[in-house]
Amino acid sequence: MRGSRVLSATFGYLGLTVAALFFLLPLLWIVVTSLKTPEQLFQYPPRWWPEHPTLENYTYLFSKMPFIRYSFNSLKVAGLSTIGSVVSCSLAAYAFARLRFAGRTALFYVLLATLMIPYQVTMIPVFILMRSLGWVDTYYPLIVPWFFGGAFGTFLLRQFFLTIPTELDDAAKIDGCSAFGIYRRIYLPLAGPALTALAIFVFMFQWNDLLTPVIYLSDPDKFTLTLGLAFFKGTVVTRWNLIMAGAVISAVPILIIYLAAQRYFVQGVALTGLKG
Amino acid sequence: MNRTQVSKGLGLVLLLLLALPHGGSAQATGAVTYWTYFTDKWDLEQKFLADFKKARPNITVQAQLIPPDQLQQKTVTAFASKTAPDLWNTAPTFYYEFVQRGDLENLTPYITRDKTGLGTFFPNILTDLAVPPGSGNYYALPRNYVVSLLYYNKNAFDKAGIGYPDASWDWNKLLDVAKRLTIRNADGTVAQFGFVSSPWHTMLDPLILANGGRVLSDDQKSCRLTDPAAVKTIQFMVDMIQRDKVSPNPTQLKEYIVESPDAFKAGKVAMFITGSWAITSMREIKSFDWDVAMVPKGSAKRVIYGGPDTIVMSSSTKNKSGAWELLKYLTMQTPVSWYAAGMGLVPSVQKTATAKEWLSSTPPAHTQVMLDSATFMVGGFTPHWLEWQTAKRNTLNEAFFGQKPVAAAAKEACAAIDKILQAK
Amino acid sequence: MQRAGPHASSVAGRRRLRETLEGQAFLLPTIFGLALFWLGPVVASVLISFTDWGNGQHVSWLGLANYRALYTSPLFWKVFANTWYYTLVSVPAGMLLSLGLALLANQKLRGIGLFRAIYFFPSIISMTAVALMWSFLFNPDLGFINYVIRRVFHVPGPEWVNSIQWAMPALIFVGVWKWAGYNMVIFLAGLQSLDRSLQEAAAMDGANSWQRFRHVTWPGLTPTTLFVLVIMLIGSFQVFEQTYVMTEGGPAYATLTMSYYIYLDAFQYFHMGQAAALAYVLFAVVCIVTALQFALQRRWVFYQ
Repeated sequence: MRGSRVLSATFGYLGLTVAALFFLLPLLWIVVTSLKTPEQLFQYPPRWWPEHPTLENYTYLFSKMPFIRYSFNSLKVAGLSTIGSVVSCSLAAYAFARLRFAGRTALFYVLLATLMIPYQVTMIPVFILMRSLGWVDTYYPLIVPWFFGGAFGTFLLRQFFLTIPTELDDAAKIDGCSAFGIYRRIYLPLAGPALTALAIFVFMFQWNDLLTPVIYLSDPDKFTLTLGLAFFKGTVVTRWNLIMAGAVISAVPILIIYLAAQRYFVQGVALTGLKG
Repeated sequence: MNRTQVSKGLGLVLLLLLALPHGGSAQATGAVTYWTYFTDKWDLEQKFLADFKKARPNITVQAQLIPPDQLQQKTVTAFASKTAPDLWNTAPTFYYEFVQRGDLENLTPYITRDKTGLGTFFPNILTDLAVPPGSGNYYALPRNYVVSLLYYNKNAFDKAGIGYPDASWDWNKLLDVAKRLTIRNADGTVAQFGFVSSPWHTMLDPLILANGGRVLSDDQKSCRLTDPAAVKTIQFMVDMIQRDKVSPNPTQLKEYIVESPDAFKAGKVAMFITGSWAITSMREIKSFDWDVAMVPKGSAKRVIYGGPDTIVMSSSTKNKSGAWELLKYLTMQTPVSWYAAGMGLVPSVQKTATAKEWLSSTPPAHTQVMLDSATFMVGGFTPHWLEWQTAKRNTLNEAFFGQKPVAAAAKEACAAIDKILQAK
Repeated sequence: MQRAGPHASSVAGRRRLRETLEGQAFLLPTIFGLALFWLGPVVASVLISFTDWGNGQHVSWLGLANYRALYTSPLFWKVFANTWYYTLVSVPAGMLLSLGLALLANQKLRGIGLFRAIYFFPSIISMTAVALMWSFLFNPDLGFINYVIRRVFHVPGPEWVNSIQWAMPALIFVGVWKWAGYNMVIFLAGLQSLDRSLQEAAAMDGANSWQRFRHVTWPGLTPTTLFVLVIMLIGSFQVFEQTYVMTEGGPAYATLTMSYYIYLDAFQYFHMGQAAALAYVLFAVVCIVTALQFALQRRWVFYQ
């Protein structure tokens, strides 16, 4: 028994490592490129590690951009959107998963259909709408829609809520629990991993989004980090190493958030204990 | 999560939302809004605009830098929602469409009124801006122009003992040298290509004209790529890849071929034709010496791709006189230092371009080539230019990749281009 | 029985009314959002698809002309086929890879968190940087991949994005590579939510690991799988960024996809009406494919 466990762990690590290299090596290339000077970029044969790695791309970016302010702006936009999304989507997902009411299926499919409309054709009408609300050059167009549900998050959470045994609801109903009580006391705690996943996805999407800030923001004090970094794409030159350094800088905060949130994935829920 | 946590969270959210700034951007009356995508020159631009403010204290300028890749989406959205800037940069790529849509102010009445001397510009760069062609109606004035150049790796020439290219070269000479500069490894792979051939507008279109052919008919309503002269030229370019093997397959990435010629920079290509804008990028080369020469002559004449970057005014502008003042200032009074930084953009004003500060900024050693090339410059811009160019490149690619005879690919290209040009 | 009938139905009726009201209360933000941020823009863009809006100074009503133009355009059918090609390869490949990763990363081993984080890394980095990085590695003459192929096998590698045959596989590879970790996280959340006692019971009964996966893990994971499948289908049909950064639809239209074509028509070619028509054709296709998934789900998805 012990021997077979060691063997399976060995195979486990082997598979994990092979997969890790598959994802890590190309990413290493991004990091290495960000440490190269322009002329080192085009050396042939290609080198994994530059002879003289330099941080000049990073110092250049930091010196040319109010990094702290932009990061704070991004944090505000991404953070608020995440809260809005998790709250509004989980409410809707619970209704779609567990409450029975007229028009439930139809409404669900209508919601899902919003995912299938290419944004390129709704972008201008949405802009006109936001302008009529007086929201151009504010954060409202970037944040407020996330407080009003969203197909991706609602669908994601609905699928998870559907895996929760209905016996739990019935027991709670007998105890006189309202629908909101069941949602809050049973569904939210049990969907921890899914809620965490959604939170990370929304945060990441908003953090990396470029088009919405480009279209709506004009006051440089309000720029997000992704927008700030977009200015390093030269008009006539593509400075690869700067773009890569920018990508690394921009990824670090998401990485931190991910690592902080990761433990909630591991919280496997022992449903048996709750049933009893 | 219990109830107090949830309500606390919601309360926090509401507080933060209320703390966000309200309302649209306050626009000072009489302010002139100006969008530019010249990210590399933003510092210089701001300094230059500050000087304008000193000279014209009654005009407030609200300048905004737009990421180049998103400028077009932002501009189209702005016009649709009536939030367009008063002035902005545009290349001829979209100029005709903006004129057609009525988005641009006709500048000719202002030019006539102020007796603005258009003679200060290089004469050739105004040609493409007249709408309809040949008329004196301008909806834009040029701030700079860009022109195709033959970039070459001096070390590769030295090693092969070949004299550097000069204005006497024609395309047969180029092919001949390209063959001698193509170096193969023992395993058959190529260590160094002599040249890069491609169906991009910076190279193929002017060569067709130079060989006595035409790309489009004179009325710009039909494609002439199936004419013998054009087919012969395309065949010549295709042969460089497929028969002579002096060139790699054309790359798809705009950044590689047009903006940042990586293969040339890596020393894998000895000669390369692209616009002068690439100079900024070429200056990063440290491992060999390089210079530029004039694009070679064709069998009939010399034609070189080139065209202006312009400043345009929205027809919806409220403060037209202020916007016109700034437009004049940007196009006619931009200091030479603005152009000398990076060197890719040639000043549209002749006096600025011949200034020593600009001409002596090296490399390349032969900066004068950019000025001499202006006489031969043809942009070839038309309405729907980007659309038919994309169709041309993609259809001709099958010939360049050796998957279709040139005549058949040209026929397909013309079918696609005709459809675009003749669409209502 | 006769007396119980009306009484029971009025209880059920009241319950139904209560659930409807509750449902509407829970859905208030969603319904409000749909009405405010979607209804207007969608109606507007559908109307645009029947016009030549964006092209000239005046807008004229074209009826179905934009749709008919698509039907008769050979390029449209090419783009349509390319989009299916991308979807039909990248969705199964992406599903298998991300499910495999999730199972791999669901082991109870020391340091597993690190591996999970590594698999998720590519999703964090912006697509622009990822696409540029792969352009570098895939560069036929200068790239690392062909350098290795040449050194190890002494043959020139494929021309990748500079070849009509290899460009699409290269873009598919980049998409699958980038999003595998993202979908892994969803699968992982699904795996973590499974009732572990069932696994243990099956192990006690002597089921081997394949049997445990097939009969215990997989049925429990099917709702998650449906989600990943539907989301990947919708995403693949709208693939945009790899094309935008790596190939611009070339060479010879080999990588021109619907979403990129919509972008070109809307923002580069000034054919907003045509773009809107194309968008709603794409919408219809994705709707049908998604509806099919929901129709078929009864056969393989197990809900509690």
